[in-house]
Amino acid sequence: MTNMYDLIIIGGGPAGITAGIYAARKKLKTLLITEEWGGQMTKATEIGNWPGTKMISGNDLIKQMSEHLKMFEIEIKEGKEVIDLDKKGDIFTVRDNDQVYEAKAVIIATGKIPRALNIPGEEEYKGKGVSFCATCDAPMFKNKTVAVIGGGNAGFATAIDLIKYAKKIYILEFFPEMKGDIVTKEKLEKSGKVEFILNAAVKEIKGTKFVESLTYEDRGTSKDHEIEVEGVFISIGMMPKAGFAEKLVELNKIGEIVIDKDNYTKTPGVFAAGDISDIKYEQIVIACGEGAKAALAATDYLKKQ
Amino acid sequence: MKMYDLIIIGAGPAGITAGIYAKNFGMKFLLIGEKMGGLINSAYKIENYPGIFGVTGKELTEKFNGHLNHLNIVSNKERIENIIKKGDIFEIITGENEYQAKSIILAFGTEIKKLDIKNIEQFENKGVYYRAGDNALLFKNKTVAIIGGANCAVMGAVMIVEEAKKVYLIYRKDKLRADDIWVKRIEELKNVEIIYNANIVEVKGKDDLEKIILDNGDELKIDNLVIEAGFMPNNVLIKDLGVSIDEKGYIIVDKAQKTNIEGVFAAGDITTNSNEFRQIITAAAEGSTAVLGVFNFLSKK
Repeated sequence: MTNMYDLIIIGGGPAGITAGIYAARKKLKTLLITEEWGGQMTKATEIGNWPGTKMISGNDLIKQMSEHLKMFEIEIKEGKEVIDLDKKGDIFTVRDNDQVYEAKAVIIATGKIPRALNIPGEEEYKGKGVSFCATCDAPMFKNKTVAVIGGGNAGFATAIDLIKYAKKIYILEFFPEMKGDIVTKEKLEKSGKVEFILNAAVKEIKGTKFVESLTYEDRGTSKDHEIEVEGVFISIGMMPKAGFAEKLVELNKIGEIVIDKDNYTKTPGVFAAGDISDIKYEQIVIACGEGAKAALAATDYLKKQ
Repeated sequence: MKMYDLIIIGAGPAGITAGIYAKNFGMKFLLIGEKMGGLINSAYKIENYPGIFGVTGKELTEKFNGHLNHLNIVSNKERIENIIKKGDIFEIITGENEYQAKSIILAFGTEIKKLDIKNIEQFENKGVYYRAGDNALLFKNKTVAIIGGANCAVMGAVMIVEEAKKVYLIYRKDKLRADDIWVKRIEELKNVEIIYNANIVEVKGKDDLEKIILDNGDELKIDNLVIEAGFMPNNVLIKDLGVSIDEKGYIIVDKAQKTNIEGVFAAGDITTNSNEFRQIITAAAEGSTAVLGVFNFLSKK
């Protein structure tokens, strides 16, 4: 038993929500499927560049947007992960954890998720000392020793969030130099809490109930070292998760969906919008613009069918 | 002459967003615009700007303006007379001042399209008006005709009928082009009569407008005529600059909002981007992208 829609939007961040608002206003029979509202933006405490709002937290902004969406006629499935997108004749099939839906057009707006290290202990201790979000979890590490993996701006921002709470912060960088801004680095140095470790290939996170230590290889000497930490914050960038759609879309070398300037993918009827696509800049306002464009493009596409 | 990193020309959603981003990047920049908010001022109701539901165009402009004030961004209300490129530098000449900049963002949007109707100029502001939203208060207990079939016209008709006695919506095609949600609303209204497949060929009256004549020969007695025939690009300013435009006059930009001239970016309704959908949110997005493009351009210099 399947359900047939004009349009299925996959993703509930700014691109997906805006696409939903536009599709609903075009009276398309629309389903929006999302694991959660907001994604990356929920981790921002202060957003100052959302035009028309002086300052707002990511959580509050996404709440305003999702409430706006719910004022229109649209079906929403929350807490569902789409695991497969395929095509049968002219119809697209979208499979989540427990159901299959059918649609005449699809917009993919699943955004990006934090990149993982893929090392032993990382998955096991997630939420037990391993974190991908300092904004969310930093207060739990009061007077504790923690490691930040990644010496770019993302890692530095994580360390800045942690300075208020942690006793000591190691920042581990794979390459021989820190990539983050010099101004932020000086700020971190001034705190007296931060120790930088360069050329470090992180190998394993160990513990019993919670994280207790971290092992890394010094890539200069090839020697292993173990440091005692109670928290590990992984800040090595973001990655798209578009594998579920790879039968129908082209992915670039970093896994983003290739689109033209009007949000069409290589399969007519499948559109992509926001950070999941290969657009150049990733901003909330840009993702919203892309979502609007994709929904209007999908409307045009459906009219021609 | 004062030298800026960036001068943004136009203070609609694209220019305003560009200003917010330029400020956050710490650029030395100037925002010049004749009318804060631009065309959105005359929007009756805005229901598709994400997170802000059901504001009027003026209210959204107020919110944008408040954001600019919060960041201490001043928008200079000056009329641009010319933009000249001298080597790597742009000179912007206004009625009052001359400025220099290393880069510019053209975000001056579009202007109202006028129609070729006999005697129309004679009755401008004497019964003939452009844009319903700017003139809503005039129509109390009047019989009003509105010409157009896209969102602005249909929204305008829905708004006018709240005050007016009767509204005719006249459209040249057999189906309205507006969003279905607006089409449904207008079809439910009793005092609105939609006339399809018709154009106005002539307007008549003594001092003030009295009637209109359609191309099917019909005459309608009305008090006011509102023209909502869409927009056209205003590109007079860029003639000397050599910026490429398409056959309709819109500025051709790439994905990063770059024009064919080094250092010149464009954003919002004036460009060929956003699939010509020309929405507030797509204009804002283009404004943001343009500043990110400018930032890259300046850091490579």
